[in-house]
This record gives sequence, C-alpha cells and structure tokens, in this order.
Amino acid sequence: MDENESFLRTSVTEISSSLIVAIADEMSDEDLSAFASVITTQSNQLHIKGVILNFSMVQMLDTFSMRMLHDVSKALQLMGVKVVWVGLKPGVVISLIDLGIDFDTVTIQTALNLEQGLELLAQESSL
Amino acid sequence: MDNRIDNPVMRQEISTDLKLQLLDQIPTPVMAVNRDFEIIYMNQVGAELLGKNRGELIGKHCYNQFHTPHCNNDRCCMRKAMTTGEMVSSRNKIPLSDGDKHIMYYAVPLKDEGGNIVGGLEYIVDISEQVSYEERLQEQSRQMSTPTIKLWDGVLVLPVIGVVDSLRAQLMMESMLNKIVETSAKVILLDIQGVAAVDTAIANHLIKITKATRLMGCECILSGISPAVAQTIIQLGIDMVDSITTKSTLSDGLAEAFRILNMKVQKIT
Amino acid sequence: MSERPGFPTESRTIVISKDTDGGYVISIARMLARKAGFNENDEFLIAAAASELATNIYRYASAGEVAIRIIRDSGNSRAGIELLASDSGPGIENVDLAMQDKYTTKKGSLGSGLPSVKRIMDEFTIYSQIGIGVKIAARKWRQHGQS
Repeated sequence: MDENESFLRTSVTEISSSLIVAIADEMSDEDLSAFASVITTQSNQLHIKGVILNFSMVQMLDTFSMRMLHDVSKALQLMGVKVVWVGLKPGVVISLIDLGIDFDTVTIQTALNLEQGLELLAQESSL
Repeated sequence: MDNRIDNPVMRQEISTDLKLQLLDQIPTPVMAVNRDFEIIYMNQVGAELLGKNRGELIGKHCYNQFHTPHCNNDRCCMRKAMTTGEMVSSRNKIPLSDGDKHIMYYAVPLKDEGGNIVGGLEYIVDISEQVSYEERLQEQSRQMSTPTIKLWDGVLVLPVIGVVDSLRAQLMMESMLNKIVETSAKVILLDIQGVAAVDTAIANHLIKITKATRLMGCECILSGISPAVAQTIIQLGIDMVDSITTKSTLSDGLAEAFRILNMKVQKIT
Repeated sequence: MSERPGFPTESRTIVISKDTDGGYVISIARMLARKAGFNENDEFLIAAAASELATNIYRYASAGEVAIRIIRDSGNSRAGIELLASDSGPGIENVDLAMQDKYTTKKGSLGSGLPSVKRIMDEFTIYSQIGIGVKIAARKWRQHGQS
C-alpha cells in the first residue's frame, strides 16, 4: 500500500493499549496526510486508549505540519483517545510561538519527554 | 526664569561685548538663531564642532549645518522653545565624519523688550560617555536579567525585575525552555512582583512565554500579581486570567506548584 | 514659575526610535507620577499608558517622541500628569476603529492599546492626519486625598 510505504518514515510502537509515534524530521505534506489516516485507523482497530507523539527528532516544524498534527490529535481526542505531545525542542517551540500558533493545551497534553508522557497516560488510565 | 538678554539690570553690570566674550569662553557649543533659524551667533567651540569659521556660519540656516534627526522638523527643541516660550531639551545625534555624536541640547527662547519671541539660544552638551555607559549598563543588565533558578525538584522560578522589552522577553523564553529541558521541570514560576510596568506588549510577551512552557509539558504559574499589576491588566482589557494560572505571591505560587506535583510540606512534629 | 497655575512643573521628552526606548519611558513616567504625588497603583497605571503610547509609536510610525510632564489645573488645586505622544508616521486611517478594544492592523497584537490609554487617563485627545502623523494628548489628575 502506498499509504503505508510513506508512513514508514515514522516509527509506531504499541505498548499496553497505547501507541508511541516517533515523528520524523521534515515530513512532507503527503507523509503527514498518510500519517493522519493510518494513525486514526490503527487507533480504532487496536482499541488504543492513548497516543504519544514524540517530537524529539524534529528540528523544525512549519505552520502546515503543526496544523495537520494538531488536527489529527483533535480527531483522536474525539475518538476518546488521550493524546500527549512529548519532546518538543526549545527551538521548535520558540518558532511555533513566533508564528503565532494557537495550541489547544486543554485537549492535547504535553510532556517534556517520553518517560513523563507515559507517566501522564498511566495516570489518566488509572483514574 | 527670565530668558531676556536685554535685562536692564544685567546691562548695567556688563556690556553686550563682554557677554558675547563670556559665551565664547564656554567650553561647549552655544548658538543663537533668529525666528527663521538663521544663525546670528555661534561660539568658537560650536564652529570647531562643525569644522567651519564662525564668520561663514552667520546668516546660514542652522538645520543646514547640523543635519540631526531633529533638524527642520517638529522634533526640533528650538522650534518648540520658540512656540511655547519655555526651555526645551532633548537628546539628539549629530552626524559627523567620524560617526554620530550623542548630545543633549537645551533651547531657550530669546525675547525682545516687549516680551516677543525673536529667536532662540541653544547650547549643546556632549553625552557620548554617558550614552556608552548606558549602553554598557543595558548590556550588563540584559545578561543578568534572565536567571532561571531551580527552586525545588521539578520547580523553576524566574523573577522578572525592571523593564521587559521584546528582546528581554525572547531571552527569558530561551532561558526558561532550556532550563526546563535541563532540569526536567514540571512547573515554572514566573514572578512579576518586581516588574516596572505591564502594558499590552509586555502582557503579550508573558502570555507567549506561558504558552511556550506548556508546549514543553511544563505548567507556568504567573506569581507576584500586586494590586497595581492586577488593576492595570484589567484596565488594559487583557484576558489573562482565563488562560494562565495566576497567584498574588511567590509563596502562593510555590504552594500551587507543590499541589501540581502532588507534594505536601509538613511540619515535623 | 513652578507655582503658576496650569503650567508644567517638570517635563521630560523621550525620543522613540527603538524597541528599548519604551523602557526609558516607563522609568520616567513612574518617576514623574511619583513626584506629582500619585499613589503606587496610579503610578503603575500611568507607566502602562505611557509605555502603550511609546509602543504604538515604535510599531506603527517607527519614530517619534513621548513627552511626560507634571501639570497643575487652572485653579492650581490639583496636580496631574500629561502624556504627549507625537510621531510623523503614516497616521491612523480610522481613529474610531483604532479606539475600539482589540482592534489592530498588526498580526499577533492584542490591540492598539489606545482604548486602554483612554480608560486609564482622565482626558484623552487624539489627532491624526494621513501621511503626516498622529498626536495624542492624555491627562490624569490626582484624586483628592492622595498625599
């Protein structure tokens, strides 16, 4: 499948009903839309409770990618999946803020690194 | 203050010649112009500053000699002095062959016996050293102005003191974000107790900083909201309260940080 | 002269040409407000208004000046602070619109800040001419009972 082929640029790991997705640096628009459909389908099929998007490899994020990832996260949220963004680098954050991007921190949670992200998901599921 | 040169008491004491000589002796540029901004007097130091003879300057328009950013527009202190009848002073820069010279200049209106404004007198003070001192001070305070300090395991504090401009806000943001990564902090206290003022631009910077820390998974608490700060924010019509956790004191902020981290401070019994 | 009614007792003019000049305006505004006898709250509010004016000059006209002075009313019964901002920028196209909260022509801005200046100060006058510049005069009087 073409979709899956380009999606291979990101690695997805499944641990105890959670998906850990490592976002690749400089994903193309095609990669992103493929990613969006695959991740939502997988979450549904595997009865996923939480998704962690790991940005620790990302050096730069443009407005379009940001919005795509934001939209995917919101879509997952609608499906009842908790979404946590982890590992955003200071440089990436500063450029996002400079671009004036509004980030919905109420529905999408953030953590400094993967470890803290997993803790956050564990907390949520134990509630 | 009486700006009239033609003060009868003064005339009795010293002659006009002597007065001009006195002006010549002043080791800083002194110039007088008429209402049309034509130079009617320039002392020796003033002529030297321009690299010209005193004689050739008489009758010339002053703005064609100095070429400062104030020359021949509404920012000119001389123009203001002649309009308002008061002494007006300002900082300015004179473009010279070896770069801009920073000056402070003072302009007073000259009046005839009837009290009508007939021109103006101006003197110039070289403030290059003061300006370079200020620049150095500014640079030093900039370097010292962004101390993000680890207060507790997982808790950082950044005390904001003095004036926040966009460059400082940028430095504050970088300092905070890097420290968050370094210390794995979950909460940062931005304490604005000592801030000189809050306006919409500064509030905007603070909001941006709190947004940025949240993207790193770190909650930002704005503490040190004094009654004056709170009132100003309301007057400015800024919605800060909805999006940011605010506390009036740093200790309230720290208590909130402990709450977020599920920690409790207890007295040993 | 300082006791003559309606006349300024002290004034400072700050040239605005860079972002950091706003900081200088804040310091001067606070100092003069304190000298005029305003309490700390008002001192802070006046500084905010002055800074707002300075920011607007820098942002929209790139250069201009802010004059701050201590004033007395005609009866010489109360002191106040006057802020005069002038620039030779493009001018404001629609002053009524600029005086509305949250209106801005710049992205990422919280608004022109002018409505808040008007709210903070007791008197507010704005004069704008396209291609010539903007002049703003704002005054705040000390309330009776303030020491």
